[in-house]
Amino acid sequence: MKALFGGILIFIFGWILQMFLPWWTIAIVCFLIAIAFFEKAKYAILLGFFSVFALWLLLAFYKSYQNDFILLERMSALLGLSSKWLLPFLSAFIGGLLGALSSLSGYYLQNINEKKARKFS
Amino acid sequence: MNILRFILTFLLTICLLVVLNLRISDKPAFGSLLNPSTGFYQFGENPSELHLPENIVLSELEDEASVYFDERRIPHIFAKNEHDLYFLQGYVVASLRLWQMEFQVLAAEGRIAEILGNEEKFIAFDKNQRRMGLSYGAKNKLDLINSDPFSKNLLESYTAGVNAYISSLSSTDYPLEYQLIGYQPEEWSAYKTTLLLMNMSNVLTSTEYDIENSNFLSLYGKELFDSLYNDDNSKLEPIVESPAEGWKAALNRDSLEIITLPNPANTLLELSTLQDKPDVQIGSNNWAVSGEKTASGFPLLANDPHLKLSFPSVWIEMHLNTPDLNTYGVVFPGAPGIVIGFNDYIGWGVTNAGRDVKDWYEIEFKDEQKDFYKWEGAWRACTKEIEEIKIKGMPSVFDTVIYTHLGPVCLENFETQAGTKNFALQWMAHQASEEYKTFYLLNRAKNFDDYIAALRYYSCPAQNFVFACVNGDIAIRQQGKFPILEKDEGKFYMDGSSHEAWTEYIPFEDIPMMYNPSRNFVSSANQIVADSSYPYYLNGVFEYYRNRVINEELRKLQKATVEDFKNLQFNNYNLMAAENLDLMLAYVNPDLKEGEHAEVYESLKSWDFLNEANSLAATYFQLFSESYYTLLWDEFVEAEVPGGWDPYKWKKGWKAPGEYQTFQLLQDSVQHIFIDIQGTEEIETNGDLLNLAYQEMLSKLTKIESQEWGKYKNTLIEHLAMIPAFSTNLDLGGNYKIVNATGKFHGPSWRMILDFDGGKIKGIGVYPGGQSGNPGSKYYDNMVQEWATGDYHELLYSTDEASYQDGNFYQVNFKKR
Repeated sequence: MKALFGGILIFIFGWILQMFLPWWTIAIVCFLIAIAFFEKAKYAILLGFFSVFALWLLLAFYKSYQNDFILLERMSALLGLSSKWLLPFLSAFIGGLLGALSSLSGYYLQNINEKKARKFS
Repeated sequence: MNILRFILTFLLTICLLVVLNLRISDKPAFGSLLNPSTGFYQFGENPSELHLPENIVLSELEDEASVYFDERRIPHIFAKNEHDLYFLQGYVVASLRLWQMEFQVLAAEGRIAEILGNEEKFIAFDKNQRRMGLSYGAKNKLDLINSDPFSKNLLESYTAGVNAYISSLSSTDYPLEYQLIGYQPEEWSAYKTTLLLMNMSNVLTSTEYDIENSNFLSLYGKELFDSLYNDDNSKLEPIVESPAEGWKAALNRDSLEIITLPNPANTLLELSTLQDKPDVQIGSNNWAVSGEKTASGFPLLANDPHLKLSFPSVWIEMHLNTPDLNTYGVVFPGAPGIVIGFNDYIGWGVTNAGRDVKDWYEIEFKDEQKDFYKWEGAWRACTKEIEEIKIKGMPSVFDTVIYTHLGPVCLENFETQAGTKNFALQWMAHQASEEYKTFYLLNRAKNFDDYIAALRYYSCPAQNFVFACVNGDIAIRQQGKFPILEKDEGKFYMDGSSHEAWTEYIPFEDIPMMYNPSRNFVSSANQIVADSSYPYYLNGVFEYYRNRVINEELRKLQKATVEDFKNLQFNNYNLMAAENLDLMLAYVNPDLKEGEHAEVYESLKSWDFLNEANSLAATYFQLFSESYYTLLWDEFVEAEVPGGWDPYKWKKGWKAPGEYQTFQLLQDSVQHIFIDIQGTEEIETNGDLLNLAYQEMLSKLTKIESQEWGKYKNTLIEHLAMIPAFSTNLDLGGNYKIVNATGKFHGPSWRMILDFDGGKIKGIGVYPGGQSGNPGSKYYDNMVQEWATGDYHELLYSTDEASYQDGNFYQVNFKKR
């Protein structure tokens, strides 16, 4: 439950901070939230991945929708993608990967002082 | 163990971040590009919102001002004074087209490798631009502008506006192309605006073949040259009719020097450093008829300049208003004022003059140092400029450009049979001039006298300015600065050791002009300006077909309306085919016209000579005639590149006669050595060539996807940096040499028709693009369909500012800080 709450926080803080700060601050958000909220490595990975994935997917779709998908179409062609719908998922996947890695490292930092490392499960 | 795991994942995260922020071999950084907050998504504009905020406060403004954008994002700028007007024009144009306006001038200056990287073709392009002296000419113009407070203020106001916009952006806001290619905009300057003019001069004065002609002359002699490259225009109609009382000009021919032709031993063998010649498929139409020929009793005027079809469009459309000025039209992004358009009193348009204002001179250096060159039997010192060509991610390359009294030594160290040679370029565009002043004054002109007064400042690239006025006047005048030349001077390269730089120019009063002619119309379509009775030598590359169709139609025209003018702009009559197809077919053997081939032949025979989009015969004729041309001139034309489009690709250092001359030779049954195909045993005749060409056409037809003309031609509007995803293909009628000059890569870049009904101008227009240069905007290409289907939109130029406040316009309030 606590972990899920952390995921929601990543989504909310990521959303707000990205309006003002460079896009990669999302990694810092995940890192910090993981320290405070994730008690298992798998939570860190899954929630790190899916909160950023969801956030970026939503933003990418929302912005493209507002634009009548004009730019999405052109950029997909530019990148050689067969369908424009793949592009937001590609964006989201990159964000998810970054989210998973940064929250996992946050979780490990939180764990440094624990005598016995928790099993990766 | 825990620490290790932390360090490992932490480092991995950092690595991923670095990779996502890193540009690898010209690909944009993936994280920066694909993240949804600052990545490309932010350039996707909401079509129902404006790209600028409602209120903008700027310290440079002298007063308050407003800009109203209509539904097509055409800005209507209402300023209280001239400074603010041109300042806001710069600001608004930059907000729509920043990347394009800068990219064009960087290309003009020869700085492509600096942006696009280490590729042979970019470096060669840059070198050539430097050696042609584009920046040299731009600096000469800038010096003159800086000495004239009027021009200086005009350009400075515009420049300040562009820079105010650039400084309002943060680096992640720079247009998408900057993000994709990975660089940042520089400050704008008056110098950049003069470079833009040099760029246009380069495009519009590119049609000269001095070296190519000299090669032909050296190998085959003057007699053959004159018979094949016959520029006899006697069957054609020049732009300006010879005055009944004769030309006023009194030219003392004896005072001119005799031109020495290049030595026959001087054939140029190694021409690999010659840049590909820009194509000759650019051109334009303009015409005006007086009230005698219209339904309303007032003039009508039309103009469509044919340029490379590109995204962002070469033009931007706008309306400029101050208490003393109200003008509407199109302009090149980066230039102040309106270039083609109208105001409350007059309308004007331009076509290219096509005159040769680029001459080449052989330069003999004293020694390898190249500090001195031969001049009148002695040695004269050169000046040298070291050009640094920056290359992205690589050390710079340096090139020394040598300047003579004639101009820069553009072609250096050419291998020829007679040893290495060097050629200097004298080019009218190098000279100081103030073309922007012409447009400033035209924008304010109220009558014929004002129009003439404005044109006095215009030197290069020479244009045919068509004119009409609410008082019923019409006129046309070829305006430019032209050196006085002896016959054949400038057709071949000349001796730089005895030739002075141009000093004498055709006086302003002697330049051909027509004002309210009795035939009640004026027109130009890049044909020769006057017939052989004109006392000055006219050299250039001229058009032979469009202008005859236009004049034929204008002569017939009675009670003309805007509809008639629209129809004429879309006239698809292929005069070249009409004049030659029957003759060509007569040579073709009967067995190629029967059986399985009967359909093609019948289609050609019954063709109405209209290059409509769905015409099959238009495609057949195109393939047939270009095969014939390529077979005939196989000595000069690269066979593997199908011609016709862009246009024929010449073998380096050679150029075949044009299509008109080619067909004249066929009609007159002139026999010459080139009819024979090189490398075959037989001696071919025209009949053989036409049969071969016909067979080639038949076999090509089986290989092409669609035989319909529009689909086969497949007109391309290409992104400036040639990014295919940002380009568009269209299925359209028309072609080069046809009034509707919609070719493969070029076409009507702006169609405008002005109706002077009742002494009040009503304009319609359209261009193949959109106001925005942003590929993420609906307004990047929103007018393309309108352009393609032959629609026009009304050009709103009311002086009543309140009429723009009715809720149908986006209002941007500019306030002084």
